[in-house]
Amino acid sequence: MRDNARNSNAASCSLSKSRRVDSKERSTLNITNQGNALNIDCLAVKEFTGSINDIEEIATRLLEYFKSKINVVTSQYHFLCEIVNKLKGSIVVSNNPFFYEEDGGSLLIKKDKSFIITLSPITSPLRDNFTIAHELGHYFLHYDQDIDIKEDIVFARYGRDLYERQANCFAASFLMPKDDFIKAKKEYGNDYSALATRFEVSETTVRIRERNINSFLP
Amino acid sequence: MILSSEIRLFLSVDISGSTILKSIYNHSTLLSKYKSRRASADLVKILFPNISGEQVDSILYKGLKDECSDWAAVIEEHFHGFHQMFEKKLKEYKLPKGLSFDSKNILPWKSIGDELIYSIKLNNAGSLHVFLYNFISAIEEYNSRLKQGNQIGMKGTAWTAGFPVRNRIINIPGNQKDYLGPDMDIGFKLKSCVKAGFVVVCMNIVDLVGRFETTNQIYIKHVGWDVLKDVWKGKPYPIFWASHSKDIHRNENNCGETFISKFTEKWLDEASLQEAKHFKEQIDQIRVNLPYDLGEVTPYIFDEEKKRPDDHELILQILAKLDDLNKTYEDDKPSDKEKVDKIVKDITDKIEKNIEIESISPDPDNKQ
Repeated sequence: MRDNARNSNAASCSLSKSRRVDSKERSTLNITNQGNALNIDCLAVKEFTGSINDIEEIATRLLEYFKSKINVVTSQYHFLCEIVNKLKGSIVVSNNPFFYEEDGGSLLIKKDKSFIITLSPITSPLRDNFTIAHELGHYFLHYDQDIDIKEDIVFARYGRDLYERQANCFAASFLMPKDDFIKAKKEYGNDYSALATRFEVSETTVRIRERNINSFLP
Repeated sequence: MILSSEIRLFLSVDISGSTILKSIYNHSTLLSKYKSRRASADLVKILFPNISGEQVDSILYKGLKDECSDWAAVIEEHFHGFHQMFEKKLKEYKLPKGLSFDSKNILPWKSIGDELIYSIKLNNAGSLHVFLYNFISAIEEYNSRLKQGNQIGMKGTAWTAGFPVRNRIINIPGNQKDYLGPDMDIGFKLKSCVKAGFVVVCMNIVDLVGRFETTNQIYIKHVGWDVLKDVWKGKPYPIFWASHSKDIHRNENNCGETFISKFTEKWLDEASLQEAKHFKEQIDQIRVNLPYDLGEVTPYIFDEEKKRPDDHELILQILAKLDDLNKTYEDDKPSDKEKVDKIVKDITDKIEKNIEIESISPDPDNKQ
């Protein structure tokens, strides 16, 4: 049911590359487990050197830019698919719920600079929104497009805490911009269900965003 | 950060016979009765013109009210009746030293259909004993007070679940919490292994209760085994019935249910009930023979024992580490505006370039 909904979303946003892949096919796509923690040390992958507020700013500016380029949006998922589409990337759904273990991560950047975001077959659409935004965070913050790569890059989720936190920070800022979030909090209070619906993310994600925003407020 | 763990006691009281009740006393049967009485009342009006219409109607509705009980009202009354009895038992119970709580704060967690469930955080084995003892006592007394031939009866199920290692607390829409996990599944499935007037308890409860010394013993009888669907990978689960008295009591009221099971037969056999500690060795043996990945461990109350199994300690450390990843890094760095501008420019440039390429590329679908 959930997968159907996700597939129909994918279809509605004309993301022709959004489809299911199994492990075997991933191998043919040259997604391997080789050095998933090591290739994060390749020259094209760098830690983001700025502050949290910088990440918030990048997320806000890119969000505004994408909004200006993508006119018709039916859902957050649709919007994210369109962004991936415009960046010449694709989203696939793995047949293996444990593909992290097997393939080392859910973002693959290929030698030709195209990229693939892999979603788990068991996660909810709300979680998927966050995953896509998180992987885009890696793509924007940690991948240097100016450097040619000789091998595919797999961003390992178990790479480094800092990379993950920066990508999480980007995803949260992108899906729940700080000003919008504070405004929504005033409107919905502690109704986390309503807040989650408003931003199309899970309640857990809303709670984490609230915790993090509160820690920055004076 | 180390995540905390807790163990909770779940007490469920289920109304037996409520399904039949719903088919006997509902709004359709009310309408049938009304039509029948209406016809009689109209005849009375014709035959006795001196009696006012108002008077005839009054008699009609009074009779209808006496004759028809609504099933929802009946269930509601039993829920309230049981809760009052449980609360009274707790209030009157002489608490062991060091244990205190306000019985008024012991409220049902929720009801699911014909089942009322309490969820209580346990701080020590003493509190488990107090709640379970009085729950069993309330079930037994409530049923004994129901008149002979009553179609309703109360049956009890008690189980414990530890969080967050084996089971989880999740948020559900509406800012509510729910408890899920293998021990919760066991609890919900155990209720099919008991009949009205009795209480079935999970294996871990027998283990925990057996460690607590008291004069008000809870007595246990192992009444058999049952395969609970999807529990323990299909291995049979031990079924224990509990009582606050050592003597075997009977409940002939089957509440319309045809529950003459192997468990009832075993309960009624000559072997007497025993103190929970008697089953310790048997339970340890059962646990040893279970596959490791089921995660069954000897139950513990961390607040009291101040220690956990090593595996649980490690799991909690891993969970805390995973939770840390959700936090934005605290060692914030200085701003790097140049980097911000570069990232935004790179991405927007890339997209503008892609759009430009798309606009000059021939449409692949328009092959002529």
